[in-house]
Amino acid sequence: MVATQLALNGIIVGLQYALVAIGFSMIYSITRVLHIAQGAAYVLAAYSFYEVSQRLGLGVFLGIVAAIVSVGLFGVLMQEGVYRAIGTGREHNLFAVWAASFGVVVIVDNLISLAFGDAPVTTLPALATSVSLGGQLVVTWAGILGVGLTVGVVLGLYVVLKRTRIGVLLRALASSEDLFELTYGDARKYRLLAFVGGSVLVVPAALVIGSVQGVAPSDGINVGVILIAVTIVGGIGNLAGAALSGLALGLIENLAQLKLGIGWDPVITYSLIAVLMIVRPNGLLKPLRGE
Amino acid sequence: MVGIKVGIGLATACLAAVTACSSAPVNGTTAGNSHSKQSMSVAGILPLSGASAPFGEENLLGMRIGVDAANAGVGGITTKLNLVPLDSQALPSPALQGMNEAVHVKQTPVVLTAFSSLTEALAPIANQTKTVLIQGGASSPALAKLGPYVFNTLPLANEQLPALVDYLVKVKKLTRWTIEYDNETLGESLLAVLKTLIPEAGAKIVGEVGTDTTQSDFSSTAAKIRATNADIVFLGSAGSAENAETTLISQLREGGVTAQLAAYAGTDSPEVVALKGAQGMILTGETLQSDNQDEFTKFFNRELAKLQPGTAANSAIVNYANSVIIAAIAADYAKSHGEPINGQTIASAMHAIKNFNVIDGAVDFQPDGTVLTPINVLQIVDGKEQILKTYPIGGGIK
Repeated sequence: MVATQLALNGIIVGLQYALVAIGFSMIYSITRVLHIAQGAAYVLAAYSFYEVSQRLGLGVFLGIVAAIVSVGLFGVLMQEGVYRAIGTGREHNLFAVWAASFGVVVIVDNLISLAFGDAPVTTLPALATSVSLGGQLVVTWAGILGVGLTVGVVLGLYVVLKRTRIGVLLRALASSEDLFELTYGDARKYRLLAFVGGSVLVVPAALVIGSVQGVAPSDGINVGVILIAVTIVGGIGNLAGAALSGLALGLIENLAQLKLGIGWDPVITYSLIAVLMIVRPNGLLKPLRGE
Repeated sequence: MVGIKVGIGLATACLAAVTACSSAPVNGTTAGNSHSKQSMSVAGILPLSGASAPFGEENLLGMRIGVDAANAGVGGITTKLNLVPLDSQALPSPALQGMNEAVHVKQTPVVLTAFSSLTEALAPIANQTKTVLIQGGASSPALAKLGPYVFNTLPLANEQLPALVDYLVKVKKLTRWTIEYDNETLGESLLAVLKTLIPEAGAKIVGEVGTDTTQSDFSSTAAKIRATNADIVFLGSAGSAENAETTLISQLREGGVTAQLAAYAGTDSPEVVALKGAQGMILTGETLQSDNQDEFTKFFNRELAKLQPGTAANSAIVNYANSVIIAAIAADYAKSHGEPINGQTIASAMHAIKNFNVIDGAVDFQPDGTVLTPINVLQIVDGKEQILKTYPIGGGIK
């Protein structure tokens, strides 16, 4: 029964990892920017929601709107104010972009800490209650919602990218910015769209995970580490790969606890990542490219 | 080029200033002024930023009240105090930097800190530089063996836990124990103490589940604890991050852990007491006697109400206020014996005086720098703590 519960926990945690990573993966696949600041967007989403829905008491709906608007604006500021200034075109300095992005995480984390204090905030406490699945198996409503949201986001994104005009253009940009500009003109607004869309995709993760575990200002960096691990394992920029690798990492971390004590799960997880990188340097699935 | 030369000039001037400061005697009083025999700096190397900052803020509040009490001459104290707050972030490296700054730059003879692991990290410097190091918020039994300059104003876990185990096993008849513990100094120390005490009391440990201090997802911890079928679960987390305990308790309850919960005094916080899942939890606590009518307690209550209205006294505030007051009393003692105020004379005075009547009653130092007080066994009921039983010093099991 413990193994079953741990496996169930692993699936839930893994899909939450995927939910965090999908936006990051989408941004990278389209713009080639390692947007580590997505970790800061995660924290920003949680605190915007908390401020509006709980501190100001304006309700869940307006809280969600506030979270979406704040991270959307954050995406715009990052693209226009940081990455564009550094130069994220065809020959951008990968390290400079990464360093700037990481710096923004630290700045945002500390600004939120100054504004709200360091204690974690809980987004939707009602979702932290659990429900029995029969026997001794239990799962929180947040866990169930997280599974549904991950599946929904992946399918929704798939439909948008495959079936809509915008999706076709974004995939074209992902394939080659040079060709895109020759064919469709300036890519700037589509890059911006990728940042806004990718940033907004972190909102469900922040609200769901924050309802059980809480979100602290310092989580921006922690989430950044998860983003890197999940994205590299899945195949950088591959959305399905991100979902698959998130699931795999969650399962491995939890099932490792069956036989090993605390502290061993990251050792197992990152050892497997190292082995995977040797065997499949491009990750589980091929990196996403346009058609 | 001019800018570089100016920069080099400034750097040289700064270096000269630092060198001049460094060459001053270590652990002196506030150097070079007319108050050299009357004033003393007391540093607080506390988590003032990061996830543990809320603890540090409470400790600093206590220190402020202690300094105010000394400077107001409460209890006849004549030594004036200067407060030097330094940020440890609850991490060893910044704490060590803070200790070096306190000792070598600020020249404070007394340093207050928090957390078992940080106290262990700072103790060698304290002993080497003859600086008094007082901690009032950590419980690892290892803190009793850190040298002559290290003092504790919170009873260590090995003093608290006999009372708790005694009550739970002998009174509540709970005999199947699972221990949840953080994989750091305090958590492992608690586990080690319980491994001795629980069999002595006639009960047994049926599970040991480790957690990480940075962990926030405890769903798997809950699954493992539930599988042990314990009738009591002891929470041995350090609580190094504010709300870590509330997150843990909530997730254990939602994860199906229905057993009686128990904990040591470090778990006691207003957030835990108010938490739905913590209702019924049994824990240890110091005997805070806020209605005492002595001069220190009355001043403390007045200052607390003034500085932070609505805040209830707790050991995180009281112990740090007391630590500062004790240092001031010891400094007075040294002065009255014609000695200079420095870490060596203050430590000697603390060992000589031993018994300090301060806020909420007496603090009795043992030769190893630990403190003994009666221990309350408390239960959280309807958002309040009720005393189930008070054990005298050294009470429980045997």
